Amino acid sequence: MGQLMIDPVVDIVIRGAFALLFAMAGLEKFHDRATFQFQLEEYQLLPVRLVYAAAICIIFIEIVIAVALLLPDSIYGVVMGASLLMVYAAAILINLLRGRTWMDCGCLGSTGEGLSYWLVTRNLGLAASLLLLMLPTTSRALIWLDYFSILFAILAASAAYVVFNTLLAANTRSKMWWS
Amino acid sequence: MESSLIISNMLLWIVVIVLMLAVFALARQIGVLHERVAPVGALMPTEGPKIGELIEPMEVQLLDGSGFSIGGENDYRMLIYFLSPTCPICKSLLPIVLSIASHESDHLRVVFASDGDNTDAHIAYANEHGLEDYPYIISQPLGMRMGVNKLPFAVLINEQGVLRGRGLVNNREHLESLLQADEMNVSSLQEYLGITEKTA
Repeated sequence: MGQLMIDPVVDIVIRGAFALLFAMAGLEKFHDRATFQFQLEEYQLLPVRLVYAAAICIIFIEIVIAVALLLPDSIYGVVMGASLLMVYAAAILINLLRGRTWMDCGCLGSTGEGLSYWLVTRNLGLAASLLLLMLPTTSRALIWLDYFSILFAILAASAAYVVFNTLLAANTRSKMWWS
Repeated sequence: MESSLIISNMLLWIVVIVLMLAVFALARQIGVLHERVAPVGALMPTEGPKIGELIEPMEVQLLDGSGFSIGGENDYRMLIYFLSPTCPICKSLLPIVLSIASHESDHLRVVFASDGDNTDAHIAYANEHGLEDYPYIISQPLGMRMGVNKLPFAVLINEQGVLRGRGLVNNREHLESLLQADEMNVSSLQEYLGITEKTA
């Protein structure tokens, strides 16, 4: 024992789920670049002149992370992905501290419900799960049942993410109404 | 033994997915319920100017660079609608604001207000949503003066330059409650409900 290791199934599930997350996020932003540019500008962290270039860069980086995560045994996607999630968390935190809670987070699937500390927690949690991939993987031959588990675990993880965001959106919205 | 484990594993995964769908449906329902119990009437923040306070004339700049005056004596009531181009609820309320503006045009003037450095974005937004014919203020001090803490936010100032209502507006009822409250001479719908509850 001694050294903490993860099973290849866990490794593939985490890689697959995060590749899906970054690909969806990147495609959503690419699909509506104008809105994303607006959202990025609302964060008020970059000079207006740089926002367009930064928006294109972020979309590109998200797609690159999605692809890099799919390369087996590669840690580039892991490091870039976790860093990006933490940068997002910091950007949200800065705007929370500025009191700009009404702005749209621009996250995957957000519909303008506003910012909350839960988003920061969520992103840090996601970064931590992604960093699990830094652990060494045990080696064993995968059988067909493993692929079945991988498929369903990725589906379940995606569903859990959507459910979390739906509950969080309702919570943030009602806080906005009642505070 | 092995095949029982395989079967149980597959069954459990299917149950997990079905339960996930059920939880998702419930989460959506919670969102809908939250929306149903949203407060009636525009919600007024505690900080900021009080209803009945005289708003000293304040010079602000419009989108086209010309000057504009808020507060002081006028021959119309003024409804200031605070928005941001990135705020989805602000956008969804725009048709309602515009309809109020055209229906009450004889004694109410609707003014839009926002802040931010990117004038082009505001011009594009104004053109896209048909706000060109209305004053569109770009001013951060105005938002701070009116205690705008959330968007979309509306402020009503009467002919004498007195603040008659302000608050977070999330739907048509909220906007109309501001105008109603002014016409019935109460500071907010919440106050009105309080009065009727006491007398009932």
